[in-house]
Amino acid sequence: MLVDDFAGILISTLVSGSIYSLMVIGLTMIFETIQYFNFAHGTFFTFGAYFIWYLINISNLNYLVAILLLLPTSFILGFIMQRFIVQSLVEREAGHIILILATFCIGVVIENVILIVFGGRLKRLPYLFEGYITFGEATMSYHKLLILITSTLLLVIFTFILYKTKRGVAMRAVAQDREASYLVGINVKGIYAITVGLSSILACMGGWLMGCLLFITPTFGGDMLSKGFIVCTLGGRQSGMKGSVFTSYLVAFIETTLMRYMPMYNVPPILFLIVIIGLLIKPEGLFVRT
Amino acid sequence: MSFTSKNMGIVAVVVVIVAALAGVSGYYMAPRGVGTEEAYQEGYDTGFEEGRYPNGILKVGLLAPLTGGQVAAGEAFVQGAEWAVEEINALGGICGYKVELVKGDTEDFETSKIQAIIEKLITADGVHAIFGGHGNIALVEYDAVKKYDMIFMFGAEWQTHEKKWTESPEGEYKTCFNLVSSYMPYRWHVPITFDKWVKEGKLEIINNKVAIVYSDNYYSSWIAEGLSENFEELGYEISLWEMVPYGTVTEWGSILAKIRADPPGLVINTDWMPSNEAAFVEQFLENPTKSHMFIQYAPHAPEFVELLGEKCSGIIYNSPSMGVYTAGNKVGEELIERAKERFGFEPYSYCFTLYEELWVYKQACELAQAIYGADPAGGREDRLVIAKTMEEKTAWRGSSGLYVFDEIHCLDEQYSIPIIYQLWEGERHTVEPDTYADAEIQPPPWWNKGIE
Repeated sequence: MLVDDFAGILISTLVSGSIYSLMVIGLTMIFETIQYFNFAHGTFFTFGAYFIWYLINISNLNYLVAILLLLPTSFILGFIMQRFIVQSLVEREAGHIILILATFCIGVVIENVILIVFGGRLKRLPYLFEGYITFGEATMSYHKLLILITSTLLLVIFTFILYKTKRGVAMRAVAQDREASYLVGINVKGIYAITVGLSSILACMGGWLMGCLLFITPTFGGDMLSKGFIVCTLGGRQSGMKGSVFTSYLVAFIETTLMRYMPMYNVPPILFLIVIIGLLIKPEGLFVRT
Repeated sequence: MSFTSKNMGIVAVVVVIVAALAGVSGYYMAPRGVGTEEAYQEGYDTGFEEGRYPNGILKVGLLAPLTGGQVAAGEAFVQGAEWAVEEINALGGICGYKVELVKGDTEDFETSKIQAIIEKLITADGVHAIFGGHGNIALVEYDAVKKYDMIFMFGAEWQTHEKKWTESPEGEYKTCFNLVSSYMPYRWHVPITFDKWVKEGKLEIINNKVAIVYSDNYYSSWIAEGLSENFEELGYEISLWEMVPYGTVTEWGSILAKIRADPPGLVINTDWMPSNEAAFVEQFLENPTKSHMFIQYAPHAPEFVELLGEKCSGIIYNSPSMGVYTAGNKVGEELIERAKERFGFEPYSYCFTLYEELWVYKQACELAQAIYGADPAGGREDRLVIAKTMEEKTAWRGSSGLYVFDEIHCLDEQYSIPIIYQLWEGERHTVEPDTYADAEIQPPPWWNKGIE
């Protein structure tokens, strides 16, 4: 029984943690580099799901081709948002609140465009792989395994980009010191746009993966954004990739364990209580070095 | 000027130029095809419209979530209302008025938003009646319309409607009507029928345990409590009683782990949100127990059945009155066919609710005018007369039976028949009562997976 419980908790933690990390890493990347919380991030999540739905159901494209097309499209979406809308506000040194509001408005526009184009009728993405594997009493669908593998792959690729490529080094430099980056000739504007582009890839891929588990609506990314905000706040908005990943799986573990042993209804307030306690202990976030 | 040839020539040229200009401008300024069939038809249509609706425009309001998480339902409300308005206007409108629909976006049914929209519809848009499908769980819409004695028709939350009526002074909500019959069958019909099937040997169960999962809202919890009470009275044991937060629930693993640890004869989920219940069903099927499954409400959404497909085979659900999907319901069948022809797909059931609300309103207005001389576009007094007429005189043959309002302004349940359905390979089958059944209740397909 305990082994089955453990297996169930482990599977749920890994799956939920993977989805949270896809959401959170993008948010953290933007905050560290450009210093604003991207409220359009949840809408990118929604966009990813609808984009795949459209390509599979209307354009009748092959599923794998649709997923591959999502990667550059989501990058361009984020790139355009940053380069042509938010950047002008950054250059005018609009405050943090203005940037948040701007991204919030962009999110609302995208959400409503999705609503107008696709309507409100519930939709769903098919699984790429059907079927389950069992570990005793615990089971894991192949799709959940895909979530695990995809998020791990994306994290490895992003880690490689950040630490092993020139662009990645530049991104980290801008995150550390924007002024110094200007001085050494880094195209800061370009780096900002690339950061948001990369972040939106993560969000859109998360949207695709969740769109197979849930019905898709124009607001379906909103709930994930709320979770992402909790994880970001607990881990610290400048916790880096490692901190974001750890916090994502930590929150997923706490949530899953609590749900296993107490009524589900009690879990959200306890989770918030844990976040508050965490912030009281370390206000800047658990994984941010003081 | 002397009448010389030169002068006359100049005059002639000027006259020709002026005549030409007059002709050209006349051509472009005159209605197209003057004197032609086209002009006749255009004039006919305009005049016909004015003649057809001699009393002008009758504005009616529609509360619908046009944005936000409930937008799928809102689309259905709009589809049904616009469909009815189009048909009603094609038949001459209501009492000589052309009906015009004014929509208000209730988004996520937040109280202050609903109040503001109702105020706007009444005071700024000048509507004479307001319609809705489902909305705020506490029916704050009723409190917002009552000070204007505005006619308000709704199609949900019977349990809240009944509570408001019985706990308020008489006549507090005299202009509010609900196009649903009593929801009490949601509480007793499944326990009694399930027990009957077991005792008759139609259904096998592994034990007499029932697991109930519900969400934190009055509709879900009220139904869950009723099911629990009635099952316990019949000698069943409630082995799991679990509440989930109201809203999106993506991960049901912990609850399903409890179900798998102590498999019940019947699993019940009254959460009602189609997305949540679809996730519940799918995650249950990852490692199913040898239990029957009852899902509250969600299977009424066509998308639930379409998108889950064969995975929803074996699921039991019900409605407190005959619905459009009940086997042998000719009115329902015809309505579904007409809807598919109009929209190209089967709409969410609330499309039919809104459609029928407007037709019932039309009947009430016409009766009120004929008997009492009430004017649908009149003021408060006229609305009160129409409401009284709707309460006392309305009898409309709808898809759920005969629509006659009872003393609390819901559909009289003596004309309603509670129905139980079972889904099978994407089709809805009526399994109870026998009079309407087109199939026998079956053990669900997940039992064939060789589970213990």
